[in-house]
Amino acid sequence: MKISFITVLTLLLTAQAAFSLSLDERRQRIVSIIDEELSEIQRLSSQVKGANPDHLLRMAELNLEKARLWREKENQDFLELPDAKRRKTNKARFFSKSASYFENANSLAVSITKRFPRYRNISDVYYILGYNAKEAGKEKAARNYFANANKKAGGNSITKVKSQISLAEIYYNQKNYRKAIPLYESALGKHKDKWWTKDSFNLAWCYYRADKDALAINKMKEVFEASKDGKYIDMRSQVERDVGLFYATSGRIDEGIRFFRSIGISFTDQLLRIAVTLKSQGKYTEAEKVLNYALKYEKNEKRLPEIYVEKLALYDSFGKESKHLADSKKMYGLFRKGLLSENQKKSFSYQLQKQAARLQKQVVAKTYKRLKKTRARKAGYAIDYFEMLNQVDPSKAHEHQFHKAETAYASADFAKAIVFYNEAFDMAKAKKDEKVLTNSAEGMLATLGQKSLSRKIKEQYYAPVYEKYLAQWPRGKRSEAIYQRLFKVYLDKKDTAKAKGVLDRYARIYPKDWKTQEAMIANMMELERKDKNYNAIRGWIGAIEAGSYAVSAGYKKKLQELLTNIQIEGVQTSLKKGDKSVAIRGYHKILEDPHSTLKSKINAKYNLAALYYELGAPAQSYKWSVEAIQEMPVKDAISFSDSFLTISGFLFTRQEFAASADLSSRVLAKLCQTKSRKKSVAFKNSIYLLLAEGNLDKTGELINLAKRCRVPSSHIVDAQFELLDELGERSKWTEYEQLINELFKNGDSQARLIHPLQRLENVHSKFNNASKARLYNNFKKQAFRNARAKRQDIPLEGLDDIAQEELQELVGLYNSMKGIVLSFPEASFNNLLKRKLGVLDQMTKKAAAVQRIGSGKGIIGSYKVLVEAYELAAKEVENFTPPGKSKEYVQSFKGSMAQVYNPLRQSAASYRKEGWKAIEANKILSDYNYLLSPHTIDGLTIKYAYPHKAINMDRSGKR
Amino acid sequence: MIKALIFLVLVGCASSGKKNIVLEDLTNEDFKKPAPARYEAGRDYFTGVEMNNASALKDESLYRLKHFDGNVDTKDVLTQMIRACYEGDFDEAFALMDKEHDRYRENPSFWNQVGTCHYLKGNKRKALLFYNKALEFSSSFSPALNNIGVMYRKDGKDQKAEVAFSRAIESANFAKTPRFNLAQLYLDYGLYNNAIAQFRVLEGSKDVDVYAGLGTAYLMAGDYKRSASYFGKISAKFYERPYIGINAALAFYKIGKSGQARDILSDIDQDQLGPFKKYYQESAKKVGL
Repeated sequence: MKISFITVLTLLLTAQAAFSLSLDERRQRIVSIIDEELSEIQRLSSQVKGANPDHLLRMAELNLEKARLWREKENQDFLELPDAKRRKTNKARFFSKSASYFENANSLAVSITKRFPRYRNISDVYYILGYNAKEAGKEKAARNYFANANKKAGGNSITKVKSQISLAEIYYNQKNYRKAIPLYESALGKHKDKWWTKDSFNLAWCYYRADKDALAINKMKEVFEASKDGKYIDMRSQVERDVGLFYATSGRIDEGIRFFRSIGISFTDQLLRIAVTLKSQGKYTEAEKVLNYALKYEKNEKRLPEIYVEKLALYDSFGKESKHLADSKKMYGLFRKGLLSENQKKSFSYQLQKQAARLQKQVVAKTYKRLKKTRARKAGYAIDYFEMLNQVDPSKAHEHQFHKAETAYASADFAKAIVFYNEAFDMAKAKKDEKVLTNSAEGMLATLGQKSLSRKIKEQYYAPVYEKYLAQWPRGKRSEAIYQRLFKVYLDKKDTAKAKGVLDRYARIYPKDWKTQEAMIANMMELERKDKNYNAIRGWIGAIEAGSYAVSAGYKKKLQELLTNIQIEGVQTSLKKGDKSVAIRGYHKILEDPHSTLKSKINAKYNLAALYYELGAPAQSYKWSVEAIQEMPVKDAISFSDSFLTISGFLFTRQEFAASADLSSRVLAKLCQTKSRKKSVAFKNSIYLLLAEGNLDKTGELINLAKRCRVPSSHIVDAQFELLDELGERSKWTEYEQLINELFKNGDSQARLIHPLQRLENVHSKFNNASKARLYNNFKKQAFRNARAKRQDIPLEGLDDIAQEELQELVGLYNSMKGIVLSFPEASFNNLLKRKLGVLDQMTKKAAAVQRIGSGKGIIGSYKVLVEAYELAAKEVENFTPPGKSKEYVQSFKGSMAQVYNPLRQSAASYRKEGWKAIEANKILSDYNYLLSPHTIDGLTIKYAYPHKAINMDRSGKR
Repeated sequence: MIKALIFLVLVGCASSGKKNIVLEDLTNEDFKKPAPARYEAGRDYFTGVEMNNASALKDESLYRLKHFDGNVDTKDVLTQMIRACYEGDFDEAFALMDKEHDRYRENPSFWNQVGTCHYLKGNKRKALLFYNKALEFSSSFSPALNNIGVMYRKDGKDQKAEVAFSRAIESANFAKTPRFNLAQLYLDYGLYNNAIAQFRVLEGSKDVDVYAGLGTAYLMAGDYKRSASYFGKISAKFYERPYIGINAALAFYKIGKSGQARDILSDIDQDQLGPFKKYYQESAKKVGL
């Protein structure tokens, strides 16, 4: 051991002497000295063949020293290597030299323990082995070696002390304080070298860790006192550092304060340090306690921020949200007083940001979606943090404000969100931070879109938010939609001026988007319409016409209709109320108004027609009817055709025949191409009035119109026959003939044409137009045949005409019979009589044929002719006396002729009777009736003709 | 939008005549039409008509008023109107029509008379239109049916007239004028039995034309005594009318009153014979004039 101490002393001296030398040089010189001694000891040992354990021990000590020196150099060299190279370097090889010396030392010591187990200094050997093991990081081996050293060392030997200390350190490091304590106590009680303070310091900590606070504090105080002495390592700074913890955690704060005050050190600093330590150890409660003590005992407000900084860090580390916020607010109070240093501000800002961000993240996350109260609380905290950050970190105040808004939005507190977004928008704008500006705007819009946000708040924010947005971004897809929303907001508030302002802006930016402009205008119009602000509406329509706004053609049309409605609205109201005198004046005003639309004018004209009709004013009613129907679309004309026809009827009753006919004609012309059945009514109304007025030209024109308008042909044919009558009445034979020829082409008109054809034939005969007379005679017969073939009902006058024609043939036979004059000789007479009777027979057959025609006049006419013929024939036969014949012959002849003429006469009487019977039975009105009359006054037929023909009946008479 | 426009539905018209309308002076009252005079068939007859010799139709027709020196109380508007027409005072008649139009707008008798006025004025087509207008209110309104028959009759369309008169009688079984007209029509065609049947209904009216009709009909039937009897009921002053006097003379002649017969024929103004000229001559010859 002596050698060891000498060596150590030598080393120290050498080391001190080497201060002026470089490190390598110094190390090299020491190694040289060690090598010299080692060489000498090896020589001595070899002389005794290694039998002296002292030599071996010294050699072990020298190798150990050499190993330390080389390890020191190797470490230095290793650290100086470039990183890349260092990473690739084999450590074992790089540190091989020092390792070899350590190995030598260890081998020597081990060999001692094996060869000389009873070696008196074996404890030193174990100590060396323990030390080597400790250096080599072999803690367990070291502990065993130190334990052996302690065990083998005697009494108060230094080796015992050192081994106890070393062993205690190992236990200390292993946190096995209770094992360390007796070792420290033993060693430190026996020996007091310069390291006593250091080791006692460790012992104090062991006490502290073993909950022996009082011993710990006392030991610390001893160390502090001893450290004042130069003999010992000065551990005061460490004591100052750690004793506060002991005081603080043991609750002996006052004592600690006194201690620190006594040594002139701030206790707060210590407490803070302690707290930091405790925190680093995960001792939240203790750390908080310490910091609370610090707060409690720190009277200087300026120092409080330091404490809060630590507290906030502590709470942050341990996730104490509410406490963190509470102290943050206190810290914020200090901040507001300007008590925070720049670093403290940074630290505080960091804490605030960290907490705010964390809380916001939690609020946004799904975790608390269903835990609404928790989410709301966390959102509230976050908002408070952001609020504080606005002041603490003013350069990013707009961002914090935006985050505040985002947090409120995420927690569905839209009422706050809209406020915060709005402020964030303004702040970002001032800061010219486009990103926050955009996000704030989007946030505002999203918030306003939330259903749960109250209407009141929405109403409050809609306009300002949209205005802000549009002021910032006047164009863009989003803006396009916002213009429309803003427009609606103003419109809902009936702020037409601002709504129009929005529309104007929109029209300026999107001049081609007629759909949106149209929709906006439509809303404006509706509002104005409800307010009956007609001038405004006219203004709108004018602006549209001037091209200030873009709208569809269809909408323009609708506007016209709106204008129409406006124009007539008041009037219609009067009309609805039955205030017709006001209405009629209103409709006149509409017509006088140059702005009136065509539709309103048409409506006005129609209603004027109707109102004048109600007033019983035919001229005015006609005038407005004509104008209305002229301008009215066909579709409307169909709807109101009944009314026009009623007015036409009214005009007729008021003796305004031409007007009535004209109005009906106009109805027909208007409905011409439609399928309306009213066309027939209008046509019939008009045609009979035109005929009544004698206006045959217009009658013809109307018939032509009816043909074009496809009025049913039966109505047209009826009208043509009426016209034909009228033409006949007026002896307009050329037109009469033309019309007949036209009608003759119509197969359905054949029966009705017979009499007109007869009439035409007669006219031509009268004018000696024989060929024409024959032509129409043929036509007449053809018409009769056609009518019969088609089973048409032939008018009586037609039948009469045909019968008359046939009757003429009968008369012809009669005349031929009369032309047969009886004469003798007998053979000739017989022949002539035979011929006469043959003609009579023909006449009878012909009469039957005439009668089959069905004409009353024909029937009676044929009877009349037959009666005359038979009577005449009878008379001729009776009166014939054969010339130049004997009386007897004559008598005989007359007797035999009586058998001829008597039957003839009887036949005549029979035909007369039969004829009269037919007259009475059928009430036949024939001019021949008189000729068949059964009673005459000596041949004079009684005649009668009432000069008035018939009497008009003016009233129904008494019943 | 235009569909919302109010288009007035015609409800009827008020009577304003042809007076000038001053818009500013108009009141809603002007649009109100008076209630139409309710037509009562039972009261639709003439009163106050004095026509002693032609009274068969006096409650139904004023046609023969001037032919028989009749007179009529003119307080009734419809009477005033038709009388004016018969008198040829059409301006007055149409003025009345215009004035009374609204009041009588639903009165078939009114429209029938409007028709007759047009007829008398010479416009048969207008007349027919208004007769039809009257028939709009009552398709069996016998005066209008009768008057349509009159039109046919005077137009030579006797077969149609016969149908019209018959329909008028069917529509109003107690109507006299269509019966009278039908009887005259039958008689014109020698259908004496048919004529007698109709005239006999009117016999009690002591109407000259009815007696003359019956007298003629029985003359045609060879019942000279009855014929003379009817002619004998007629005041002699009416024998001057050829359609009465000639047949009356023949009837008297046949019952042996040749002198009276000749007197009657002598009293007939030969310038007024018209279509009866030939018949007059034949009759005169027969009675030995």
